[in-house]
Amino acid sequence: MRALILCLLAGSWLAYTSPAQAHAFLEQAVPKVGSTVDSSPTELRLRFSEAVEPAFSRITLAKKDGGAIALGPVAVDPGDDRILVAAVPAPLPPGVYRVSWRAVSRDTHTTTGDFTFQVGR
Amino acid sequence: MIDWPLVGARFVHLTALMILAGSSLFALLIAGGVPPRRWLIPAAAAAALSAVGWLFAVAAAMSDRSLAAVDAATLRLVLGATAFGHVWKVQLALAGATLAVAAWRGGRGCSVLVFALAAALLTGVAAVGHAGMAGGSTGLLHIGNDAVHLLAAAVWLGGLVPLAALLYRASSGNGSPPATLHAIERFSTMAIAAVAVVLLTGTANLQWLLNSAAGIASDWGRVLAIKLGLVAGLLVLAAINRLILLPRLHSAASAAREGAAVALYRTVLFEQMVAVMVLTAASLLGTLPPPVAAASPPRAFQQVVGGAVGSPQEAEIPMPVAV
Ligand code: HEM
Repeated sequence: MRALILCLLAGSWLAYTSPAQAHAFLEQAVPKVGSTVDSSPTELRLRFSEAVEPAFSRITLAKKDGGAIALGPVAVDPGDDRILVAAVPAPLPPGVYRVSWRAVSRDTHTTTGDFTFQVGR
Repeated sequence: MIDWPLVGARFVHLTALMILAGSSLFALLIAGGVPPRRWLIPAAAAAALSAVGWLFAVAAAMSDRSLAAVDAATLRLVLGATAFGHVWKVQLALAGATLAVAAWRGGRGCSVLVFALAAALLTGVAAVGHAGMAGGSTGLLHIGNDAVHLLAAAVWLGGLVPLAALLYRASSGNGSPPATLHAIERFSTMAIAAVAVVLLTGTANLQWLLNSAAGIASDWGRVLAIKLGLVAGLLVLAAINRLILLPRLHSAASAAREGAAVALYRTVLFEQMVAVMVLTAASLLGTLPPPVAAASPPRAFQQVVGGAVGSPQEAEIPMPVAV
């Protein structure tokens, strides 16, 4: 009887468990990865697969074949700690831009990546 | 790329905590409560030093610098502004307290305190590992599961250290045979319960981190497979001890008893070696990206730093996910 109860308890514990997320991977971005937007974005928003550490995460923006463009400080969205936000202080002239990111997840692992988007046709 | 400083710090920290938790519980439940100060002090010192090393390794990885380039400002930022840091401030304080308690010449109370502190420290390790990433109440559940996984492993593997000492005395003809036999049988029973808990919590962990059979074909999956192979080896050794050698300790002839004690002592030493390998694999496992991470689609343009998912290709691949 005791063995049966133990087995039932063990079984229900295993049934309860289900997959979780891990390293912070980019899931969504505004502007979208590879997209073309009509007008300059006022901020960059990158949503990752898990909570990130703003103190050590970075977003940089550069004109495709040009120099870096200053962004506001990187912060997490107050409503969702998986989203990194950086303000774009000055409107971006039409052209192709590259966003590079380095995300440190809450379980201390680092991922990096980049993508481009285009402003104007 | 593997973050060897972090793997090393995790290995030393885990091993020291297993010895602290396992041998203090052994003292309490089996050996009359006297704390084995001979191991407790070095193990507590190793736990404290490796906690500092772990902090430096994480600071280096987070700030993208070499270990030598980690400065006070980076350490302050890690401790003050990250989830890891919030846990680790407590970890460092508890590790310091453990060292003080281990050095204290107390009796039973010392063992109780060391066990409680080591259990809290193992929970800290669970909190900064992959279990901590879910956040919220599910995260707490994962951390609890992982903490129990680590504590049960500690009861088993950490207990092998005082067990070997006991067998060494018995095999050299010292110690009272009935008391020794009683102690070994009690440990054996305790270890079986601990193994059951390790298997259960390990399987729960697997369900969280491995959401498809394909995930086995990752570095994480391969290291896990090695770890499980080693655990299987440990179970075989434990079965030999329990089923073959332990009954021989009941033998009437004292020469046969001592022979069995020598054989038991040797397999326990061998078990310790395999346990060290299991802990090495487990230390590595916690730094590799588990395959759940690799499962979502747009991975071609991102890279795990210090891991091995995807490759940093040119970033013209459109994202299939709508915003
Ligand atoms: C003597 C046996 C074992 C020992 C000493 C051991 C030890 C450990 C340690 C130290 C960790 C790392 C926890 C962390 O850093 O948060 C871990 C995690 C884990 N263990 Fe075990 N374990 C054992 C048996 C098992 C078994 C039998 C299974 C599977 C059924 C298992 C599955 C796992 C999984 C899936 C993880 C998560 C790995 C990760 O965080 O990426 N373990 N174990």
